[in-house]
Amino acid sequence: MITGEITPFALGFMIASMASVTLLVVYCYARILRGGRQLDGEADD
Amino acid sequence: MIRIGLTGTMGAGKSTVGDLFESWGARRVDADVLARKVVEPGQPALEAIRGAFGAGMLRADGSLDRAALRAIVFDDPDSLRRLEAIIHPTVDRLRAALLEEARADGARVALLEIPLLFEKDLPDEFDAVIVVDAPADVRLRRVCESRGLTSEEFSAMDAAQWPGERKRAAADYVIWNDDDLASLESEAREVWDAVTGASSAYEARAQAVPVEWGVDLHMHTSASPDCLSAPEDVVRRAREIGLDRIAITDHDQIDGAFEARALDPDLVIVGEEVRTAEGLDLMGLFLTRHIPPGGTFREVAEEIRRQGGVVYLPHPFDSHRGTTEEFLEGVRDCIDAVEGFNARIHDPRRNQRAQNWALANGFPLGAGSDAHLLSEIGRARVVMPAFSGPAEFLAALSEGKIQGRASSYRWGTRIGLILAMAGNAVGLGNFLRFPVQAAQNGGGTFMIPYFVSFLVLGIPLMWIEWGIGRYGGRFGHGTVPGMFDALTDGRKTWAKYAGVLGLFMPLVVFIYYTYVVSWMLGFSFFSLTGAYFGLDEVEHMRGFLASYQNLFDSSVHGGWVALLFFLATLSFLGWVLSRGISGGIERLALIGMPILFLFAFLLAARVLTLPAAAASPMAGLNFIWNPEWSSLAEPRVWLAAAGQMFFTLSLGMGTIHTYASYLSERDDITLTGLSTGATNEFAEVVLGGTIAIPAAVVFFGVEGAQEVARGGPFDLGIVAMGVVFQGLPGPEFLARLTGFLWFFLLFIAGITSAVAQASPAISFMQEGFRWRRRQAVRALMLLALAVGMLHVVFYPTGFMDEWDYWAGTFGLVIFAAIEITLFSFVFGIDRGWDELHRGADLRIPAVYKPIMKWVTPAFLYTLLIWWGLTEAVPQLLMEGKDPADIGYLWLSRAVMLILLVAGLVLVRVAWRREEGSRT
Repeated sequence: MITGEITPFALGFMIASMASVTLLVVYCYARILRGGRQLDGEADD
Repeated sequence: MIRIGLTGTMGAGKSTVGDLFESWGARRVDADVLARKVVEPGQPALEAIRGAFGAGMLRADGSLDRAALRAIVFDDPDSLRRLEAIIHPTVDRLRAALLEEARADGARVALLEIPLLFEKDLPDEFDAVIVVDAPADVRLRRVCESRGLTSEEFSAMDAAQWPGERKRAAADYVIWNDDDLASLESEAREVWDAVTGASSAYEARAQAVPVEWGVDLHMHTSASPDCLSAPEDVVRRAREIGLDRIAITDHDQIDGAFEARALDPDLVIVGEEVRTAEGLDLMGLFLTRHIPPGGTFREVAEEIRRQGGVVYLPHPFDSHRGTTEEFLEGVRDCIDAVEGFNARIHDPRRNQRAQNWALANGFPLGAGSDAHLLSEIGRARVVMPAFSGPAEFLAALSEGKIQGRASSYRWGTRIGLILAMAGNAVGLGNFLRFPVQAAQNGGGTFMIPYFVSFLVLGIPLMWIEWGIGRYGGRFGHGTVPGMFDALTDGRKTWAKYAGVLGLFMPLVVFIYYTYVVSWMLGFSFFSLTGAYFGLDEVEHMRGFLASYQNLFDSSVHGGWVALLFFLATLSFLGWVLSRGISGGIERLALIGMPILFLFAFLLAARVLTLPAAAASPMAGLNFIWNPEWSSLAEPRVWLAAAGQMFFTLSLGMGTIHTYASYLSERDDITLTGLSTGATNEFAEVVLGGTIAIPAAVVFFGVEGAQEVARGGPFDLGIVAMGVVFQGLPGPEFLARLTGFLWFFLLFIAGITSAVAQASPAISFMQEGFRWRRRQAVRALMLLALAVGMLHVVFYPTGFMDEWDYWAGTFGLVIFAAIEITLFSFVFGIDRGWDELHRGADLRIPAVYKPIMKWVTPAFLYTLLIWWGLTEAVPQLLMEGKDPADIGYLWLSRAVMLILLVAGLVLVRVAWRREEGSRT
């Protein structure tokens, strides 16, 4: 291992993993916001 | 010749009964077959269809293109009428001809199978009309399995026919087909014998056919000054959720009820909730005109009876609108029935008191939602025999069963629900366990089995737990024993006792987890005061922690310190929990989760900008993420990933179930569930991996961090991080503040999980024993304090590790294996799939159906066997334990066992109470 550095593979795995979960979060919340749906009865309240 | 008309509801089993009758000698004429025959090539009706709808209705071979025709007439009533005008006269002629032919042949019985016999007003053409019917869920399952329809398509087609109850009421004979083929044959034979005169055994059975209605006897419309729901919306909502009858009972008004009845005469009972001179509410049902408020109780009751109505006493002991037994004694003769369950009454004892009084005085019990919001309609109902008019109503009500949940059992907002569920999942494990697991199991390559586990284990199991929870909630169950009972339709007693694991494990985990969470509160405080500043060696910091954890070691702390923070944490939890679902748990999540993410981002940014000491922050990230390709071939790594998925998503616990039980069947769970999972993964992968391990590497170097990681999550999260904060460049107050951010972040992560762990037990005491929420919370906190003291006192002996392994690790997999087996194989994956998609905003990819049925269970059973062999057996035999601790470890197991047995006994007692209250 190169002390003080990050190897390209480690960097690749890190970015790919973090990007995957970030995209999943963005996808879910974008769909929720776009759908604009609330809980059953939430709007009535 | 006896002419029998055979009809029924979709999927009830008409054709099977037709087959049986035919085998017993009936000459069978099937209307569906005739309808197909008259549109065969060369028939005049086919030509007429082509003339009416165009040549596009014919295939190349000249036969009818049914799909094209269905597409035209499905949504267009005019086209449907034109088609019927073409086909029906021809079918009628053909049917008459076939009947004549049967008579000429000397047939004794002619059986005409006509699905829309009542709708086409044909009963008079027959000597006897037989209806075959079955419960809607059974029919749905049959039709979906045999014809491949979706539940939505089934509902649309079913709604186009008369409802089963109406057909049964109009029939001469009813065959109730809710069991196996043998019992269907037996019932059909009785009917056959009765119709053909061979036996009169049918009559008694026919009267026993269950025709039950779900009736909500108390709700309001915009005619009430405190309600905004339009009558048409109330009617629509009631039909949507499957109510058979509703009583509209506006405050001192009747116009809303009349308006609703005009919209749906079958559904609506006209009523009014009249304020009497004594300040009480009194309801009249089946009214014909308005009753002005202000009369005495007796005067109002007399007016109700003058109108031929039923005098119904709502919420007799409500704190605001109720009265006393003494007053009611004086007006007993004025009352016909009593509201035994009002969903708006939050204190279950008041409903219980009403039931007790009504039963003691011989009044039938009713139930109502008292809905002032559309979402509340149906939260309470009576399931009772069908009735017609006030006299039959009272007799039917006497046989009714109350179903309902208090309106306080609900989430306020969708974002609140998502954050509360995410709060349940995001815990200490995200920030302490994940980076250690990743570093020890292949670095970057760990993410391959990790994501595979997320996709085939975590996500499907999470959806299933949401589905089970919401399904159980519909039956009023907030905990797993009742939910498992509902999943098996009450047919498998073992299931509800297996569900005790879903009460026992969160309770056990709650007790010791809360103690650990209290350490984080303690170290937040120590960070702000700088209590550990100056202990800048790992060994010194370890001593500081060990003294805190050991009640009898007063070298650094007095024993009372750990106890003090434990008490403070329990008190805070009690306060949050006693404020209810939306007012307590949801509010905690709405405030706590954004703070948690803010703190985590600040800490991650601080760690990544640290100047290199023993190593750079990049080396820390490299330590976690550097791939070891060979690790992919090791089963140990794959199982570690699967295990991490359990912890991080809080699966196999029973907590998701309880949270999901507060949802309506119209709420989405697929997208919402996925969102909570995604939020948790973000907290774990992006933030959890960027704080503790990289910080440890910066200060201790890679080898030092490895050493720390081997010491376990508390060595990393408390000891190492405590040293790290002291070494931060800059003024000390900033270092202390950073320490506070870290420990308070962990406290929030822990506390939002702990409220979820406490919820099943509270829900169980409320529902099973009708305790008030505050009472249940207080009892739980006292239990947690009493039993938790064992952890406080015996922590150094490994007392907690036993609980953590059996309840918090191995037990999760056992529970998950049971629940997925029930869901996929007993409840049935097809039913389950439809259940998950009720109200769904996201269609789950079809590939998940076989994954849920085969892959996830296989994964789980593999994990169970592997862990059983490699870990559970050595743990059971206490291998490697200090002989001095063995006695304490047995004590630890004995306490757990007592809690488990107590859980089983309480479930049994609660069940008996419920059964007793039904009879």
